[in-house]
Amino acid sequence: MVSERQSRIRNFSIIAHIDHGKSTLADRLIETTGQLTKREMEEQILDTMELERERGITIKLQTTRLKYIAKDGIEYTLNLIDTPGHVDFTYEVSRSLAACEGAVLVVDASQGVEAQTMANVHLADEVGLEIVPVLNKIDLPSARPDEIIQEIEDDLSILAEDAPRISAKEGINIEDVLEAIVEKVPAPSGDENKPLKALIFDSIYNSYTGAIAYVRVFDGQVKKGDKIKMMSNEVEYEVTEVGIHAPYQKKVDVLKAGEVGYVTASIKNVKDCNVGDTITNAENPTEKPMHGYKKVTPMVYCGIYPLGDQKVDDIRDALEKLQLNDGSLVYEAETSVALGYGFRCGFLGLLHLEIIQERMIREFNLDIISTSPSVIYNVVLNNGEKIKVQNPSNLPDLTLINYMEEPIVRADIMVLKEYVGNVMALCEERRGTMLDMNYLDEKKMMLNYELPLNEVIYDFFDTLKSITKGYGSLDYELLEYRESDLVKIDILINKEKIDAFSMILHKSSAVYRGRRICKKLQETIPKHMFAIPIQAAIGSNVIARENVKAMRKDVTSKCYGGDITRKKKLLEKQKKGKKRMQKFGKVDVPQNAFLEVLKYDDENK
Amino acid sequence: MMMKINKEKLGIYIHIPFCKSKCIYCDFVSVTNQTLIEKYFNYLLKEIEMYKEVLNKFKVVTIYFGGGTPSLVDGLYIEKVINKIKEYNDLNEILEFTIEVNPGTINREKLEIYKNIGINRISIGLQSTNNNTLKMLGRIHDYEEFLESYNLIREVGFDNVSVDLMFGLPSQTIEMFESSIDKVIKLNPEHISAYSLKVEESTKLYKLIKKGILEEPNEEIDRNMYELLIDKLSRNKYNLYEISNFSKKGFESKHNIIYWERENYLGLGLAAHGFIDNRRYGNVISFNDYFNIIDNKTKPVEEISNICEEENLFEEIMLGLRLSSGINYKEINKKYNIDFIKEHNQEIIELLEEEMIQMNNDSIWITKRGMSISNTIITKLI
Repeated sequence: MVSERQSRIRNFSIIAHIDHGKSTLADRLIETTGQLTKREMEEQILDTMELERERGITIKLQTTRLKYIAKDGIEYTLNLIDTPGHVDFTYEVSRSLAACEGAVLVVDASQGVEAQTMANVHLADEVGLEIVPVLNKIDLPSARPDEIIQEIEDDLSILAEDAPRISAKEGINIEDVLEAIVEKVPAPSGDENKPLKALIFDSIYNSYTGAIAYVRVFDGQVKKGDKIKMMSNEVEYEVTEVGIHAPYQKKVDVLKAGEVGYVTASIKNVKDCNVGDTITNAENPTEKPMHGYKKVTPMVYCGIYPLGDQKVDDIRDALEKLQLNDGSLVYEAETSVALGYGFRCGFLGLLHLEIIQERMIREFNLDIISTSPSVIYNVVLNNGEKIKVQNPSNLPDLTLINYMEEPIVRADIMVLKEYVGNVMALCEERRGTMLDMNYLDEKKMMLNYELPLNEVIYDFFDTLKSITKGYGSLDYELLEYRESDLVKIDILINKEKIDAFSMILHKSSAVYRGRRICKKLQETIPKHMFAIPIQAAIGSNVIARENVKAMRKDVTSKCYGGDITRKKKLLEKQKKGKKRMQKFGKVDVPQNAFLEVLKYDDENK
Repeated sequence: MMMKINKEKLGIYIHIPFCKSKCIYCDFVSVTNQTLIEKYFNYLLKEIEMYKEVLNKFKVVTIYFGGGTPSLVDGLYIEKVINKIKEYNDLNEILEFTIEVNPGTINREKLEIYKNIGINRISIGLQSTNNNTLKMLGRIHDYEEFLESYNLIREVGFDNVSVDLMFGLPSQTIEMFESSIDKVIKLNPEHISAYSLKVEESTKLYKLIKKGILEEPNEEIDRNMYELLIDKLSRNKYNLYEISNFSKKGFESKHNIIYWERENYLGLGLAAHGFIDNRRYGNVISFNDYFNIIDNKTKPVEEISNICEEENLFEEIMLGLRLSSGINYKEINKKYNIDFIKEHNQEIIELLEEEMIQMNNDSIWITKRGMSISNTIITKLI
């Protein structure tokens, strides 16, 4: 059922391969519909987080309401719901897509269909969205729109004949996109007189209003003073405000079926505003919550610990707040011999981990150190008991273990033909098994591999990018757990075992990884007064070793003409640097060392 | 006997920012444009006038003319400066009065003037006895000219002379440096300063190394040189009393010790630094600023900072540990109401284990071995 009010609403997302111009198009749509004056228009306004800007990817969802008078003379309300664009964030993409009826598919007119294009189209198909293809970067000399249209039709089975041909950067044919949205995206159905059913597709924490839920209302309506209920946990609240983003937060009287906006309700406990949850009216509840949400499970775990004087409670607070905006982040308290009290945190992937870690440092001003990332292993003990190990230092004694299982993923790797050899060599090296290999067109191939997740999470993606000159793309999903010949390697710094560095690895890659970690630590750990041996060992068997040489020179030879201030500043800086270190015995280790040792390094290829 | 008012000690540093030519490693404030000399000294005299209260209040114990090349300018300029200071302070209690000189810029007449106005210590820049090295560094003299100047200084009767050396220089071998040390020891100066080369970004040297024209100094060789230096000099009765300074007994530079012991000192001239009544200041570094600000009857100071209690402690440790006599932690405990040993217990144990420091009942000092990494050690104790 579509009322006249609803017939003038379009809810849509923009999906694209990274760099195909999603954010630029979003900017242009906001500008064209006059939501912001040019002066207010900041580049890529939807990517608000500093971190996102730096990395050029969207992590936090943003949403905005656009007003557009179409060629039929009617004013439409277009709700643009932004989606993040990285393989680690498929869950967030799926949530925002579920809040829409349609998706604008941006395809680079010279690059064509890419792995992420396909992956995103697949996700959009799954929630039944109408897909509106758009050819971007039409102004580039390398643009070949006719070929790409054919490619879209062939590879994605989407009619693209009438696809708007635009340049978001140059502002060419932006109106065509708006028209296509109005024309092709279905108006939201749903009944405003039924009980409230609203989907939380994102949420942020605000210290004044409490948690703010970004919602799509499917049925019913919600206004200030309503008693609402979170359907997952039955907790009730009174609504304090409802509003929309235009693109800044703006109060409205009511949000009705088909509309997108925000709800605040003095939700103190951030855990009570879960993304994916359904909000209903407490007095007149809907029967069933929204379906179609994939509850994601973290794939990568690592420990996060306070550094120096940092309080462990501050870390808990930050994790709690971050979790509000990020349903895929999980954490629980743990302790480490080397690091004391901290948290074991679960992430979607290594990038997700890095982003959370950086946000804790930048936004929450925390001094933290994180341990070596790990996946979850199934361990079957001799007595038949089966346990899950996500922290390598919790691995039971080898004599107690019957066998171990590791997670295997199915990875889809899209790559240009000339790099297939490189990719196959990489997958081989990472214990991959090829399932399938297809030509997508004359130039592109899709490789399907089974890969152990612990080979994928570390530096696989970066390595892939590097060996394919950036043209490779990766998507993966968990397949199953499989028995595997795994070992635990320990890292000893200055002859002391550092539990936080322990890793579980396949026997065949243990020596290679052990060597790399030692080498990287040698580069990462600053020189001390004494030489520091760094060793990797399996049990008592040392498999790799490096040495950090003793410091020979660190002295200000001359203090010129009584200029004490300069020397003071130098030492203050040096002292500050020390604080960012974690002390293991007599050795200071930089806070990023654990992550650094796992990162891709050009010298290794 | 007349009763003396117990005034606090004061050192005076006077910067003379002129050189015949710029050495390639130098990032100090100095110019080769000698047309500015006269004007500069006029303004220097005006600056001194602005400090008459300070000069009046303290007992001047040391004066140091540094540069640049103070010996480049006519001796009469130096005399004028001293006469101006004497208008506000009788300089009766001066213990040490130094001027930096470079070979080739002094003659008997100039040295006589120095002697007459009370200068009692000469610091002469040699850097190396190897003429190729001197040429590479852009020094204006060779070793023979240095010898002439050195002998002249002795002839005129200066009995406290310091010789500057440098080491860790591009293509300098251990043998070359050893030869420099040996030759200097033979000359028997009362004081030797030996600085490890630091390549500063703003210098010509930095560019030459970046371009690959000169070799980057090797840290390992540099430290071997330092060890050799300490060894050789100590066997010849030169005592390492500060990271880069050696002297015969009783000839430690009193002026430099004022810096390390945080006594008051007045900095005069372009880019000079001072420390008066617990306040540190630095003068402007451009001639124009210097002239303009003085024209406005203001002191040509551009950075000034009051040193708080916490910083006092920081400085006391940082500066004290440069000296081989180290810091007196008993006094520090009393002065700052702390327990220094307890607060740095772990670090002190580690440093003792590594033989980087030594301690007794009241002091902690950095060992010869530790001097090479004194910044690291100091950071652990502040």
